[in-house]
Amino acid sequence: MVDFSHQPTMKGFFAPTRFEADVYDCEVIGKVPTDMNGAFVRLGGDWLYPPKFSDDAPFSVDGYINMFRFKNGIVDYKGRWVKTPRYKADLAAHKQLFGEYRNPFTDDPSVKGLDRTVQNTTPLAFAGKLFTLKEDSLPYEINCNTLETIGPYNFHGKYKSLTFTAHPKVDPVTGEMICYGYEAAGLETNDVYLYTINKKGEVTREVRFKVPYISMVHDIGLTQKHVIIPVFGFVTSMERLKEGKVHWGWDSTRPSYVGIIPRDGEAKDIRWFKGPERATVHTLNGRTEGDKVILEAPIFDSNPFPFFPSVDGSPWDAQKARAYIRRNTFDLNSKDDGFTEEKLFEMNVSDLGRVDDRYLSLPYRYAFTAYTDRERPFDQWRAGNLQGRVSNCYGRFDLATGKKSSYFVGDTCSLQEVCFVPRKGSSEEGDGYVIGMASNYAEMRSELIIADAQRLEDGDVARVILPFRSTAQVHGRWMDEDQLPFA
Amino acid sequence: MRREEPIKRRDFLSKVAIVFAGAAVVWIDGGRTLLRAVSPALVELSCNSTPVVSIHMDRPYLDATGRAVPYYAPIGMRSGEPVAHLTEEAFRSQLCFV
Repeated sequence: MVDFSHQPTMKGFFAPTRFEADVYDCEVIGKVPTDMNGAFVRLGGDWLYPPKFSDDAPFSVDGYINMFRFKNGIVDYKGRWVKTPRYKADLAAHKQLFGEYRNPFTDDPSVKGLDRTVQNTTPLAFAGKLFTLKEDSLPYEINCNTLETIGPYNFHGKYKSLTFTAHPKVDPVTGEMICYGYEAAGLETNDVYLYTINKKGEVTREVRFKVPYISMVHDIGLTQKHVIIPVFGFVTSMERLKEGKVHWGWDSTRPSYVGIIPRDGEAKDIRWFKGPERATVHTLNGRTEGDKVILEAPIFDSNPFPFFPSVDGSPWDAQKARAYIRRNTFDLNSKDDGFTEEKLFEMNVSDLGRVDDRYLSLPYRYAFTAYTDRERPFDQWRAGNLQGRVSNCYGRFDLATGKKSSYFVGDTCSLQEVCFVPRKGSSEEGDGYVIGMASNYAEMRSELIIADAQRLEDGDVARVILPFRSTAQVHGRWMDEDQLPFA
Repeated sequence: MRREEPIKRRDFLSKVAIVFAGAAVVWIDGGRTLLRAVSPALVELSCNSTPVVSIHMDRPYLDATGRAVPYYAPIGMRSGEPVAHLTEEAFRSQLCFV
Protein backbone atom coordinates (compact mmCIF):
# COMPACT_ATOMS: atom_id res chain seq x y z
CA MET A 1 0.00 0.00 0.00
CA VAL A 2 1.51 3.33 -1.05
CA ASP A 3 0.70 6.05 1.46
CA PHE A 4 2.18 9.54 1.38
CA SER A 5 -0.41 11.01 3.76
CA HIS A 6 2.04 11.17 6.67
CA GLN A 7 4.65 13.17 4.78
CA PRO A 8 4.15 16.78 5.90
CA THR A 9 5.76 18.39 2.85
CA MET A 10 4.45 16.06 0.16
CA LYS A 11 1.11 17.77 -0.22
CA GLY A 12 -0.61 20.20 -2.57
CA PHE A 13 1.76 21.29 -5.30
CA PHE A 14 4.55 19.32 -3.64
CA ALA A 15 2.89 15.91 -3.68
CA PRO A 16 4.69 13.23 -5.68
CA THR A 17 3.43 12.90 -9.25
CA ARG A 18 4.50 9.27 -9.84
CA PHE A 19 3.85 9.00 -13.55
CA GLU A 20 5.80 9.05 -16.80
CA ALA A 21 4.57 11.34 -19.52
CA ASP A 22 4.75 12.35 -23.16
CA VAL A 23 3.23 15.59 -24.38
CA TYR A 24 3.57 16.27 -28.07
CA ASP A 25 3.44 19.81 -29.43
CA CYS A 26 3.03 21.51 -26.08
CA GLU A 27 0.74 24.44 -25.55
CA VAL A 28 2.71 27.67 -25.79
CA ILE A 29 1.90 31.19 -24.65
CA GLY A 30 3.98 33.55 -26.77
CA LYS A 31 6.37 32.37 -29.42
CA VAL A 32 9.22 29.92 -28.98
CA PRO A 33 12.36 31.31 -30.70
CA THR A 34 12.97 29.25 -33.82
CA ASP A 35 16.74 29.42 -33.35
CA MET A 36 16.44 27.25 -30.23
CA ASN A 37 17.01 23.76 -31.57
CA GLY A 38 18.01 21.06 -29.13
CA ALA A 39 16.65 20.11 -25.73
CA PHE A 40 16.30 21.47 -22.25
CA VAL A 41 16.91 18.45 -20.06
CA ARG A 42 16.04 18.51 -16.38
CA LEU A 43 16.98 16.04 -13.70
CA GLY A 44 15.38 15.89 -10.30
CA GLY A 45 13.40 13.50 -8.26
CA ASP A 46 10.01 12.04 -7.56
CA TRP A 47 9.40 9.63 -4.72
CA LEU A 48 8.37 6.23 -6.03
CA TYR A 49 7.71 5.14 -2.44
CA PRO A 50 7.81 7.26 0.71
CA PRO A 51 11.19 7.48 2.46
CA LYS A 52 11.89 4.70 4.94
CA PHE A 53 12.80 7.21 7.65
CA SER A 54 11.08 10.51 8.35
CA ASP A 55 14.39 12.37 8.78
CA ASP A 56 15.89 11.17 5.50
CA ALA A 57 17.28 13.84 3.18
CA PRO A 58 15.39 14.93 0.07
CA PHE A 59 18.53 13.97 -1.85
CA SER A 60 17.35 10.35 -1.53
CA VAL A 61 14.44 10.98 -3.88
CA ASP A 62 14.28 8.67 -6.92
CA GLY A 63 15.76 10.20 -10.05
CA TYR A 64 13.43 11.46 -12.75
CA ILE A 65 14.69 12.87 -16.06
CA ASN A 66 12.58 15.03 -18.29
CA MET A 67 13.23 16.76 -21.57
CA PHE A 68 11.72 19.62 -23.51
CA ARG A 69 12.72 18.89 -27.10
CA PHE A 70 12.85 22.06 -29.20
CA LYS A 71 12.60 21.85 -32.98
CA ASN A 72 11.76 24.83 -35.20
CA GLY A 73 9.57 26.50 -32.62
CA ILE A 74 7.73 23.30 -31.62
CA VAL A 75 8.30 21.76 -28.18
CA ASP A 76 7.63 18.16 -27.12
CA TYR A 77 7.90 16.98 -23.52
CA LYS A 78 8.98 13.59 -22.23
CA GLY A 79 9.47 12.45 -18.63
CA ARG A 80 10.88 9.14 -17.38
CA TRP A 81 12.14 7.66 -14.13
CA VAL A 82 15.83 6.85 -14.09
CA LYS A 83 15.54 3.09 -13.80
CA THR A 84 18.36 2.34 -11.41
CA PRO A 85 18.79 -1.02 -9.65
CA ARG A 86 17.34 0.73 -6.59
CA TYR A 87 14.22 1.83 -8.48
CA LYS A 88 13.71 -1.67 -9.84
CA ALA A 89 14.23 -3.32 -6.44
CA ASP A 90 11.76 -1.00 -4.73
CA LEU A 91 9.19 -1.49 -7.47
CA ALA A 92 9.52 -5.26 -7.25
CA ALA A 93 9.10 -5.16 -3.46
CA HIS A 94 6.30 -2.55 -3.60
CA LYS A 95 8.02 -0.53 -0.89
CA GLN A 96 11.05 1.57 -0.01
CA LEU A 97 13.92 -0.76 0.78
CA PHE A 98 16.64 1.85 1.15
CA GLY A 99 17.30 3.79 4.31
CA GLU A 100 19.03 7.03 5.16
CA TYR A 101 20.89 9.13 2.60
CA ARG A 102 24.12 7.36 1.61
CA ASN A 103 23.97 4.99 4.57
CA PRO A 104 23.78 1.36 3.45
CA PHE A 105 23.64 0.17 7.09
CA THR A 106 20.04 1.36 7.24
CA ASP A 107 18.85 -0.63 4.20
CA ASP A 108 16.68 -3.69 4.09
CA PRO A 109 19.02 -6.75 4.14
CA SER A 110 17.56 -7.92 0.84
CA VAL A 111 19.36 -5.13 -1.06
CA LYS A 112 22.78 -5.46 0.55
CA GLY A 113 25.49 -4.71 -2.02
CA LEU A 114 23.09 -3.26 -4.60
CA ASP A 115 23.94 0.10 -6.20
CA ARG A 116 22.07 2.59 -3.96
CA THR A 117 22.27 5.55 -6.31
CA VAL A 118 19.12 7.43 -7.26
CA GLN A 119 20.64 9.50 -10.13
CA ASN A 120 18.74 12.67 -9.38
CA THR A 121 21.13 15.62 -9.69
CA THR A 122 22.49 16.79 -13.07
CA PRO A 123 21.98 15.80 -16.71
CA LEU A 124 25.10 15.91 -18.88
CA ALA A 125 25.67 15.77 -22.64
CA PHE A 126 29.25 14.76 -23.41
CA ALA A 127 31.02 12.89 -26.20
CA GLY A 128 27.70 12.35 -27.96
CA LYS A 129 26.06 10.67 -24.99
CA LEU A 130 23.44 11.72 -22.45
CA PHE A 131 24.12 10.95 -18.80
CA THR A 132 22.50 11.42 -15.43
CA LEU A 133 24.84 12.31 -12.60
CA LYS A 134 24.74 11.74 -8.86
CA GLU A 135 27.84 12.12 -6.76
CA ASP A 136 27.57 8.76 -5.02
CA SER A 137 28.09 6.59 -8.10
CA LEU A 138 29.20 6.41 -11.72
CA PRO A 139 27.23 8.33 -14.36
CA TYR A 140 24.26 6.52 -15.89
CA GLU A 141 23.91 6.58 -19.64
CA ILE A 142 20.46 7.50 -20.94
CA ASN A 143 19.01 7.12 -24.45
CA CYS A 144 18.61 10.74 -25.55
CA ASN A 145 15.52 10.00 -27.64
CA THR A 146 13.53 7.67 -25.39
CA LEU A 147 15.03 8.71 -22.04
CA GLU A 148 15.22 5.04 -21.14
CA THR A 149 18.06 4.09 -18.80
CA ILE A 150 21.00 2.22 -20.33
CA GLY A 151 23.15 1.88 -17.20
CA PRO A 152 26.35 2.92 -15.43
CA TYR A 153 29.24 4.19 -17.55
CA ASN A 154 32.99 4.17 -16.75
CA PHE A 155 34.56 5.70 -19.87
CA HIS A 156 35.86 2.46 -21.37
CA GLY A 157 37.08 1.22 -17.99
CA LYS A 158 39.55 4.09 -17.59
CA TYR A 159 37.56 6.03 -15.02
CA LYS A 160 38.52 4.29 -11.77
CA SER A 161 36.81 6.36 -9.11
CA LEU A 162 33.72 4.68 -7.70
CA THR A 163 31.93 8.02 -7.73
CA PHE A 164 31.46 10.83 -10.24
CA THR A 165 30.64 14.44 -9.44
CA ALA A 166 27.36 16.07 -10.38
CA HIS A 167 29.36 19.10 -11.53
CA PRO A 168 31.97 18.25 -14.14
CA LYS A 169 33.31 21.24 -16.05
CA VAL A 170 33.67 21.30 -19.81
CA ASP A 171 36.41 23.65 -20.98
CA PRO A 172 34.93 25.73 -23.83
CA VAL A 173 38.39 26.22 -25.35
CA THR A 174 39.60 22.61 -25.52
CA GLY A 175 36.31 20.71 -25.22
CA GLU A 176 37.87 18.64 -22.41
CA MET A 177 35.85 17.65 -19.39
CA ILE A 178 37.44 18.09 -15.96
CA CYS A 179 35.67 15.79 -13.53
CA TYR A 180 36.28 13.93 -10.31
CA GLY A 181 34.90 11.62 -7.71
CA TYR A 182 35.16 12.06 -3.96
CA GLU A 183 34.97 9.18 -1.51
CA ALA A 184 36.51 7.80 -4.66
CA ALA A 185 37.98 4.65 -3.16
CA GLY A 186 34.80 3.71 -1.31
CA LEU A 187 32.51 4.74 1.47
CA GLU A 188 34.22 6.94 4.10
CA THR A 189 37.49 7.38 2.22
CA ASN A 190 39.04 10.83 1.89
CA ASP A 191 40.30 10.16 -1.62
CA VAL A 192 39.57 12.40 -4.57
CA TYR A 193 40.39 11.21 -8.10
CA LEU A 194 40.58 14.08 -10.58
CA TYR A 195 40.26 13.35 -14.31
CA THR A 196 40.61 14.99 -17.66
CA ILE A 197 38.53 13.38 -20.39
CA ASN A 198 38.90 14.54 -23.98
CA LYS A 199 35.96 15.39 -26.19
CA LYS A 200 35.92 11.88 -27.64
CA GLY A 201 35.25 10.53 -24.16
CA GLU A 202 38.76 9.16 -23.55
CA VAL A 203 40.39 9.55 -20.15
CA THR A 204 43.69 11.39 -20.71
CA ARG A 205 44.75 12.21 -17.18
CA GLU A 206 44.18 11.03 -13.62
CA VAL A 207 45.47 12.58 -10.39
CA ARG A 208 44.74 11.04 -6.99
CA PHE A 209 44.94 13.09 -3.79
CA LYS A 210 43.42 13.31 -0.34
CA VAL A 211 41.28 16.10 1.10
CA PRO A 212 41.89 17.53 4.62
CA TYR A 213 38.83 15.72 5.94
CA ILE A 214 36.13 13.59 4.37
CA SER A 215 33.52 16.05 3.21
CA MET A 216 31.03 16.82 0.49
CA VAL A 217 32.97 18.09 -2.53
CA HIS A 218 29.89 18.91 -4.54
CA ASP A 219 31.28 21.36 -7.08
CA ILE A 220 34.62 22.78 -8.23
CA GLY A 221 35.85 25.87 -10.02
CA LEU A 222 37.79 25.72 -13.26
CA THR A 223 40.22 28.21 -14.76
CA GLN A 224 42.41 27.84 -17.82
CA LYS A 225 45.28 26.89 -15.50
CA HIS A 226 43.84 25.58 -12.25
CA VAL A 227 41.17 23.49 -10.63
CA ILE A 228 39.63 24.96 -7.44
CA ILE A 229 38.33 22.45 -4.89
CA PRO A 230 36.14 23.71 -2.02
CA VAL A 231 35.87 21.53 1.10
CA PHE A 232 33.60 22.72 3.91
CA GLY A 233 31.75 21.80 7.11
CA PHE A 234 29.96 18.57 6.19
CA VAL A 235 31.52 15.62 8.00
CA THR A 236 30.92 11.90 8.10
CA SER A 237 32.39 8.75 9.62
CA MET A 238 31.86 5.02 9.62
CA GLU A 239 30.75 5.26 13.27
CA ARG A 240 28.11 7.76 12.31
CA LEU A 241 26.78 5.49 9.59
CA LYS A 242 26.72 2.46 11.88
CA GLU A 243 24.65 4.51 14.33
CA GLY A 244 22.06 4.72 11.56
CA LYS A 245 22.46 8.41 10.81
CA VAL A 246 22.19 10.26 7.53
CA HIS A 247 25.55 10.43 5.72
CA TRP A 248 26.45 14.06 6.51
CA GLY A 249 26.45 16.12 9.66
CA TRP A 250 27.53 19.76 9.97
CA ASP A 251 30.54 20.61 12.11
CA SER A 252 30.79 24.38 12.59
CA THR A 253 34.24 24.04 14.17
CA ARG A 254 35.75 22.78 10.93
CA PRO A 255 37.45 25.41 8.82
CA SER A 256 36.59 25.56 5.17
CA TYR A 257 39.44 24.58 2.88
CA VAL A 258 39.98 25.41 -0.76
CA GLY A 259 42.48 23.37 -2.73
CA ILE A 260 44.16 24.82 -5.81
CA ILE A 261 45.83 22.39 -8.19
CA PRO A 262 47.36 23.22 -11.58
CA ARG A 263 45.49 21.48 -14.39
CA ASP A 264 48.74 19.85 -15.45
CA GLY A 265 49.91 19.29 -11.86
CA GLU A 266 50.30 16.27 -9.62
CA ALA A 267 49.01 15.58 -6.13
CA LYS A 268 52.14 17.15 -4.60
CA ASP A 269 51.30 20.44 -6.33
CA ILE A 270 47.99 20.98 -4.62
CA ARG A 271 47.93 23.91 -2.22
CA TRP A 272 45.29 24.14 0.50
CA PHE A 273 44.00 27.52 1.63
CA LYS A 274 42.04 27.80 4.87
CA GLY A 275 39.07 30.02 5.76
CA PRO A 276 36.26 30.41 8.29
CA GLU A 277 33.01 28.41 8.48
CA ARG A 278 31.39 28.58 5.05
CA ALA A 279 29.49 26.39 2.58
CA THR A 280 30.32 26.61 -1.12
CA VAL A 281 27.91 24.06 -2.52
CA HIS A 282 27.84 25.46 -6.07
CA THR A 283 30.23 27.69 -7.97
CA LEU A 284 29.71 30.25 -10.71
CA ASN A 285 33.09 30.58 -12.42
CA GLY A 286 36.82 30.78 -11.88
CA ARG A 287 39.79 32.37 -13.57
CA THR A 288 43.54 32.72 -13.16
CA GLU A 289 45.00 36.23 -13.33
CA GLY A 290 48.78 36.12 -13.00
CA ASP A 291 49.54 34.61 -9.61
CA LYS A 292 45.99 34.96 -8.39
CA VAL A 293 43.24 32.41 -8.70
CA ILE A 294 39.72 33.80 -8.39
CA LEU A 295 36.51 31.96 -7.66
CA GLU A 296 33.06 33.51 -7.67
CA ALA A 297 30.22 31.56 -6.09
CA PRO A 298 27.01 31.88 -4.09
CA ILE A 299 28.39 31.06 -0.65
CA PHE A 300 26.53 30.37 2.61
CA ASP A 301 27.82 31.42 6.03
CA SER A 302 26.90 28.05 7.48
CA ASN A 303 24.95 24.85 6.88
CA PRO A 304 22.37 25.35 4.11
CA PHE A 305 20.66 22.00 4.65
CA PRO A 306 18.60 21.35 7.81
CA PHE A 307 18.38 17.65 6.91
CA PHE A 308 22.11 17.34 7.58
CA PRO A 309 22.00 18.37 11.24
CA SER A 310 24.79 19.77 13.39
CA VAL A 311 26.97 17.14 15.00
CA ASP A 312 26.87 19.08 18.29
CA GLY A 313 23.08 19.17 18.35
CA SER A 314 22.82 22.92 17.89
CA PRO A 315 19.75 24.12 15.99
CA TRP A 316 19.84 24.90 12.28
CA ASP A 317 20.06 28.64 11.64
CA ALA A 318 17.90 29.81 8.74
CA GLN A 319 19.57 33.25 8.78
CA LYS A 320 22.96 31.73 8.08
CA ALA A 321 21.52 29.49 5.37
CA ARG A 322 21.40 32.34 2.89
CA ALA A 323 23.72 32.45 -0.09
CA TYR A 324 25.47 35.64 -1.23
CA ILE A 325 27.48 36.02 -4.41
CA ARG A 326 31.07 36.31 -3.19
CA ARG A 327 34.52 36.46 -4.69
CA ASN A 328 37.36 34.46 -3.16
CA THR A 329 40.87 35.41 -4.24
CA PHE A 330 43.79 33.08 -3.67
CA ASP A 331 47.28 34.50 -3.96
CA LEU A 332 49.67 31.79 -5.06
CA ASN A 333 52.59 33.99 -3.95
CA SER A 334 51.31 34.39 -0.40
CA LYS A 335 53.28 32.96 2.49
CA ASP A 336 50.27 31.93 4.55
CA ASP A 337 47.19 29.81 3.89
CA GLY A 338 44.62 32.61 4.03
CA PHE A 339 42.56 34.10 1.21
CA THR A 340 40.35 37.13 0.73
CA GLU A 341 36.57 37.16 0.47
CA GLU A 342 34.35 39.93 -0.93
CA LYS A 343 30.56 40.05 -0.93
CA LEU A 344 29.68 41.32 -4.42
CA PHE A 345 25.96 41.90 -3.88
CA GLU A 346 24.23 42.59 -0.58
CA MET A 347 21.13 40.57 -1.48
CA ASN A 348 20.83 36.84 -0.90
CA VAL A 349 20.20 34.65 -3.93
CA SER A 350 19.55 31.05 -4.93
CA ASP A 351 22.83 29.16 -4.89
CA LEU A 352 21.82 27.42 -8.15
CA GLY A 353 23.51 30.04 -10.32
CA ARG A 354 24.80 29.79 -13.86
CA VAL A 355 27.00 31.64 -16.30
CA ASP A 356 27.25 31.67 -20.08
CA ASP A 357 29.09 28.34 -20.36
CA ARG A 358 31.05 29.55 -23.38
CA TYR A 359 32.92 31.72 -20.86
CA LEU A 360 33.52 29.03 -18.26
CA SER A 361 37.10 29.19 -16.91
CA LEU A 362 37.60 32.53 -18.72
CA PRO A 363 37.18 36.19 -17.77
CA TYR A 364 33.44 36.89 -17.76
CA ARG A 365 30.92 39.47 -16.65
CA TYR A 366 27.47 38.01 -16.03
CA ALA A 367 26.05 35.60 -13.50
CA PHE A 368 22.45 34.41 -13.62
CA THR A 369 20.44 33.12 -10.71
CA ALA A 370 17.01 33.19 -9.10
CA TYR A 371 16.11 35.24 -6.07
CA THR A 372 13.15 36.42 -4.01
CA ASP A 373 11.98 39.98 -4.46
CA ARG A 374 9.66 40.64 -1.52
CA GLU A 375 8.47 43.90 -3.08
CA ARG A 376 6.80 41.97 -5.89
CA PRO A 377 3.21 40.82 -5.38
CA PHE A 378 2.22 37.27 -4.53
CA ASP A 379 -1.44 36.27 -4.86
CA GLN A 380 -1.90 34.03 -1.86
CA TRP A 381 -5.63 33.84 -2.48
CA ARG A 382 -4.96 31.91 -5.66
CA ALA A 383 -1.66 30.25 -4.92
CA GLY A 384 -1.73 29.67 -1.20
CA ASN A 385 0.19 31.38 1.53
CA LEU A 386 3.78 30.27 1.03
CA GLN A 387 5.19 32.72 3.61
CA GLY A 388 7.44 34.32 1.01
CA ARG A 389 8.99 30.99 0.09
CA VAL A 390 9.03 31.68 -3.62
CA SER A 391 11.82 32.58 -6.01
CA ASN A 392 9.91 35.05 -8.13
CA CYS A 393 12.74 36.56 -10.19
CA TYR A 394 15.65 35.59 -12.37
CA GLY A 395 18.47 38.09 -12.15
CA ARG A 396 21.37 38.87 -14.42
CA PHE A 397 24.10 40.07 -12.10
CA ASP A 398 26.71 42.25 -13.75
CA LEU A 399 29.93 41.58 -11.89
CA ALA A 400 31.66 44.49 -13.63
CA THR A 401 29.20 47.21 -12.63
CA GLY A 402 27.37 45.68 -9.67
CA LYS A 403 24.04 46.23 -11.44
CA LYS A 404 21.23 43.74 -11.77
CA SER A 405 18.47 43.27 -14.32
CA SER A 406 15.43 41.16 -13.49
CA TYR A 407 12.75 38.95 -14.89
CA PHE A 408 9.59 38.66 -12.76
CA VAL A 409 7.62 35.45 -13.23
CA GLY A 410 4.22 36.64 -11.99
CA ASP A 411 2.26 36.58 -8.77
CA THR A 412 1.35 32.89 -8.57
CA CYS A 413 4.65 31.26 -9.58
CA SER A 414 8.01 30.23 -8.20
CA LEU A 415 11.11 29.66 -10.30
CA GLN A 416 13.52 26.76 -10.20
CA GLU A 417 17.16 26.87 -11.33
CA VAL A 418 17.96 29.19 -14.23
CA CYS A 419 19.83 28.07 -17.35
CA PHE A 420 21.43 30.19 -20.06
CA VAL A 421 21.03 29.31 -23.75
CA PRO A 422 23.33 31.15 -26.20
CA ARG A 423 21.72 32.73 -29.23
CA LYS A 424 22.62 30.83 -32.38
CA GLY A 425 25.40 32.52 -34.32
CA SER A 426 26.33 34.95 -31.57
CA SER A 427 29.46 34.76 -29.43
CA GLU A 428 28.80 37.82 -27.28
CA GLU A 429 28.64 36.90 -23.61
CA GLY A 430 25.08 36.86 -22.31
CA ASP A 431 23.45 37.13 -25.75
CA GLY A 432 20.76 34.49 -25.66
CA TYR A 433 17.93 33.28 -23.49
CA VAL A 434 17.35 32.44 -19.87
CA ILE A 435 15.24 29.37 -19.49
CA GLY A 436 13.81 27.64 -16.47
CA MET A 437 10.84 25.96 -14.91
CA ALA A 438 8.15 27.86 -13.06
CA SER A 439 5.74 26.22 -10.65
CA ASN A 440 2.35 27.85 -11.10
CA TYR A 441 0.71 27.26 -7.72
CA ALA A 442 -2.65 28.70 -8.80
CA GLU A 443 -3.09 26.53 -11.86
CA MET A 444 -1.34 23.45 -10.42
CA ARG A 445 0.91 23.16 -13.42
CA SER A 446 4.50 23.70 -14.52
CA GLU A 447 5.50 26.26 -17.12
CA LEU A 448 8.82 26.48 -18.92
CA ILE A 449 9.88 30.12 -19.08
CA ILE A 450 11.93 31.52 -21.95
CA ALA A 451 13.11 35.13 -21.73
CA ASP A 452 15.61 37.22 -23.67
CA ALA A 453 18.66 37.39 -21.40
CA GLN A 454 19.43 40.95 -22.51
CA ARG A 455 15.85 42.15 -21.99
CA LEU A 456 14.74 40.46 -18.81
CA GLU A 457 12.54 43.37 -17.76
CA ASP A 458 10.40 42.80 -20.87
CA GLY A 459 9.13 39.51 -19.45
CA ASP A 460 9.11 36.13 -21.12
CA VAL A 461 9.00 35.65 -24.87
CA ALA A 462 7.34 32.26 -24.43
CA ARG A 463 5.89 29.96 -21.80
CA VAL A 464 5.64 26.27 -22.60
CA ILE A 465 2.68 24.97 -20.63
CA LEU A 466 2.50 21.51 -19.13
CA PRO A 467 -0.99 20.44 -18.13
CA PHE A 468 0.35 19.01 -14.86
CA ARG A 469 2.98 19.54 -12.17
CA SER A 470 6.39 18.41 -13.33
CA THR A 471 8.78 17.06 -10.72
CA ALA A 472 11.09 19.54 -9.06
CA GLN A 473 14.50 19.57 -10.66
CA VAL A 474 17.84 19.89 -9.04
CA HIS A 475 19.66 20.92 -12.22
CA GLY A 476 18.76 21.45 -15.85
CA ARG A 477 21.00 21.83 -18.89
CA TRP A 478 20.48 23.08 -22.42
CA MET A 479 21.78 20.59 -25.00
CA ASP A 480 22.26 21.83 -28.53
CA GLU A 481 21.01 19.87 -31.52
CA ASP A 482 24.56 18.87 -32.48
CA GLN A 483 25.60 17.63 -29.02
CA LEU A 484 23.51 14.47 -29.06
CA PRO A 485 22.25 12.04 -31.74
CA PHE A 486 18.67 13.28 -31.59
CA ALA A 487 16.18 11.58 -33.91
CA MET B 1 -47.18 12.06 -28.01
CA ARG B 2 -44.06 12.53 -25.86
CA ARG B 3 -44.06 10.35 -22.80
CA GLU B 4 -43.33 12.19 -19.54
CA GLU B 5 -40.12 10.72 -18.05
CA PRO B 6 -39.49 10.66 -14.28
CA ILE B 7 -36.96 13.29 -13.17
CA LYS B 8 -33.43 11.90 -12.88
CA ARG B 9 -31.33 12.40 -9.75
CA ARG B 10 -28.69 14.41 -11.65
CA ASP B 11 -31.35 16.76 -13.07
CA PHE B 12 -32.90 17.19 -9.66
CA LEU B 13 -29.51 18.03 -8.07
CA SER B 14 -28.66 20.54 -10.77
CA LYS B 15 -31.99 22.31 -10.24
CA VAL B 16 -31.40 22.38 -6.51
CA ALA B 17 -27.92 23.80 -7.15
CA ILE B 18 -29.37 26.62 -9.25
CA VAL B 19 -31.85 27.48 -6.48
CA PHE B 20 -29.06 27.49 -3.91
CA ALA B 21 -26.85 29.59 -6.15
CA GLY B 22 -29.63 32.15 -6.46
CA ALA B 23 -30.09 32.20 -2.71
CA ALA B 24 -26.36 32.63 -2.24
CA VAL B 25 -26.36 35.63 -4.57
CA VAL B 26 -28.97 37.32 -2.42
CA TRP B 27 -27.05 36.43 0.71
CA ILE B 28 -23.80 37.85 -0.63
CA ASP B 29 -25.38 41.05 -1.78
CA GLY B 30 -26.65 41.70 1.69
CA GLY B 31 -23.78 40.19 3.59
CA ARG B 32 -20.60 41.88 2.45
CA THR B 33 -19.26 42.00 6.00
CA LEU B 34 -19.27 38.22 6.16
CA LEU B 35 -17.72 37.99 2.70
CA ARG B 36 -15.02 40.48 3.68
CA ALA B 37 -13.80 38.02 6.27
CA VAL B 38 -13.28 35.49 3.50
CA SER B 39 -11.98 37.69 0.69
CA PRO B 40 -11.64 41.49 0.94
CA ALA B 41 -10.54 41.63 -2.68
CA LEU B 42 -13.72 39.92 -3.80
CA VAL B 43 -15.86 42.41 -1.88
CA GLU B 44 -14.08 45.29 -3.55
CA LEU B 45 -14.62 43.76 -6.97
CA SER B 46 -18.22 42.91 -6.28
CA CYS B 47 -19.40 46.52 -5.89
CA ASN B 48 -21.80 47.63 -8.63
CA SER B 49 -21.72 44.31 -10.47
CA THR B 50 -24.04 41.46 -11.19
CA PRO B 51 -23.16 38.05 -9.69
CA VAL B 52 -23.01 35.08 -12.01
CA VAL B 53 -22.33 31.40 -11.62
CA SER B 54 -19.29 30.34 -13.66
CA ILE B 55 -17.14 27.33 -14.25
CA HIS B 56 -13.36 27.40 -14.01
CA MET B 57 -11.12 24.34 -14.29
CA ASP B 58 -14.21 22.11 -14.12
CA ARG B 59 -15.33 23.62 -10.82
CA PRO B 60 -18.38 25.82 -10.32
CA TYR B 61 -17.89 29.07 -8.49
CA LEU B 62 -19.91 32.12 -7.69
CA ASP B 63 -18.40 35.13 -9.38
CA ALA B 64 -19.83 38.14 -7.58
CA THR B 65 -18.21 40.61 -9.95
CA GLY B 66 -19.95 39.58 -13.13
CA ARG B 67 -16.56 39.79 -14.79
CA ALA B 68 -15.63 36.12 -14.58
CA VAL B 69 -12.63 36.61 -12.31
CA PRO B 70 -10.47 33.52 -11.85
CA TYR B 71 -11.50 30.75 -9.52
CA TYR B 72 -10.33 31.15 -5.94
CA ALA B 73 -9.91 27.79 -4.29
CA PRO B 74 -11.07 27.63 -0.67
CA ILE B 75 -8.52 28.07 2.08
CA GLY B 76 -6.74 24.79 2.59
CA MET B 77 -7.19 23.75 -1.02
CA ARG B 78 -4.73 26.17 -2.67
CA SER B 79 -1.72 24.31 -3.93
CA GLY B 80 0.85 26.08 -1.78
CA GLU B 81 -1.34 26.15 1.32
CA PRO B 82 -0.72 22.67 2.79
CA VAL B 83 2.87 23.58 3.66
CA ALA B 84 2.22 27.14 4.83
CA HIS B 85 2.18 26.19 8.49
CA LEU B 86 5.61 24.56 8.41
CA THR B 87 8.61 26.22 10.01
CA GLU B 88 11.43 27.27 7.72
CA GLU B 89 13.44 24.29 8.94
CA ALA B 90 10.64 21.80 8.32
CA PHE B 91 9.91 23.30 4.91
CA ARG B 92 13.56 23.24 3.80
CA SER B 93 14.00 19.76 5.16
CA GLN B 94 12.30 18.38 2.08
CA LEU B 95 11.69 21.27 -0.28
CA CYS B 96 15.13 22.76 -0.77
CA PHE B 97 14.94 23.29 -4.53
CA VAL B 98 11.39 24.58 -5.07
